Amino acid sequence: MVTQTAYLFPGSIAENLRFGPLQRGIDLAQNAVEELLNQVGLAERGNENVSHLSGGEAQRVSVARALANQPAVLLLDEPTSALDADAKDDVEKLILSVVRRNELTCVMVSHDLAQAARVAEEVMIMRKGKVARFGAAREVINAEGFLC
Amino acid sequence: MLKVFFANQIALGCAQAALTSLLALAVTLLARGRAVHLEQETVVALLRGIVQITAVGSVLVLLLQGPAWTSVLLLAAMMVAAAKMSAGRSDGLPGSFPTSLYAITAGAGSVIALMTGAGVIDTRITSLVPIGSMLIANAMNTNSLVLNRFRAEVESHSGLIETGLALGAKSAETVRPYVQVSVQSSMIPAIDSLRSLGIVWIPGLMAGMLLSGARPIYAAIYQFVTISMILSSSGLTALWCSLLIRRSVFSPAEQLTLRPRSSAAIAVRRRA
Repeated sequence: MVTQTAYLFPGSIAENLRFGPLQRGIDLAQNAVEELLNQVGLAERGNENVSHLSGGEAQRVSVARALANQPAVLLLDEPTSALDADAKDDVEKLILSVVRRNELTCVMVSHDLAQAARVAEEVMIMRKGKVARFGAAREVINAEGFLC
Repeated sequence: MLKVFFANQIALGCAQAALTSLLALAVTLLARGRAVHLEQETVVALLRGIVQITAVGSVLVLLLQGPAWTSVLLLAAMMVAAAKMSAGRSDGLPGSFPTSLYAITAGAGSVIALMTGAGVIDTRITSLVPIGSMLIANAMNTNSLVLNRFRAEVESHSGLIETGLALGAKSAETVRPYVQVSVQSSMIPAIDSLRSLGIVWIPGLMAGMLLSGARPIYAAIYQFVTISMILSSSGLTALWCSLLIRRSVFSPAEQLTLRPRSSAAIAVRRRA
């Protein structure tokens, strides 16, 4: 899961990536850490302390940390809402690239219909806790009055 | 100076109590100037304190002439009262009363039992009850500090805790650093009391023993003995409390159930 705020554990980027597998008794090898960092555009920065990272970089680490657990489903809770426009764009592209490369099922929560139009194949609109619409992204978003 | 005006001991005591209470209230007014609201709590505590200790003092002669087994009942009642008061400090942390009761009983109760069995605490009611009450009171304070600090740590790190759970960590692992810091910080008063013994403070127990004719060296050593027992009972209480309370903030499915309170909710509670 990747949340709106990237809650990174104190320490290095590599230590954050190793956290999930360690809970299952797996010590992630160095080359596996590097592969994850390459995927998210943070190559060779494993030893950096997370306190020095920008918001966008922190979200990249958050994505890599989620991938380290080899998930079948990636859950993203407004992963770009706390980022500026440039960082948002970078993280969106990263998410698309990661999901396609790892052939993941991805469920992303967003209040941004334009973002949903850019990244999603299917969209579910919820209002007051109930499903208002569900279907192919373009159809649902057009039905909402947001042309894409 | 007060002795000039009050020849009668009870009247003198009342005047001394009034003066010190005024000082305490002055401190709460100072705190109020910094938007720290302690007025209601302080007034209630002062009133309860004087009423309770006066009531206990009035019946103390009768209590201390009772059979030895009444000391067990007295100490047990004190533990229950201590647990109730300590739980009230946790601001609604789930399970805080049973946790406090088990922790204080395990911490203070076990040290009282062990040290009485070993002959460190005299079994006479006149020794067992006062010394036991000191251990229970300090265990209560330590317990309150653990609860209060643990709640604050979990609330302020709820994002990290939930991230850890989402990455597959067990609930105990996600709160381990906050349990450690809660225990460590709760032990500061007990440790500092021992470190400063004889330099910063000379406790009343030692003075009382000297007045009753004990040898000064023995009085000093026994004071150390008592403070050491306080350290042990406080430490055990802190460990038990932290072990029990960490489970209470998670559901059986290991979801974090303790949510951060909004600042508005905290302000309303403090004003109330």
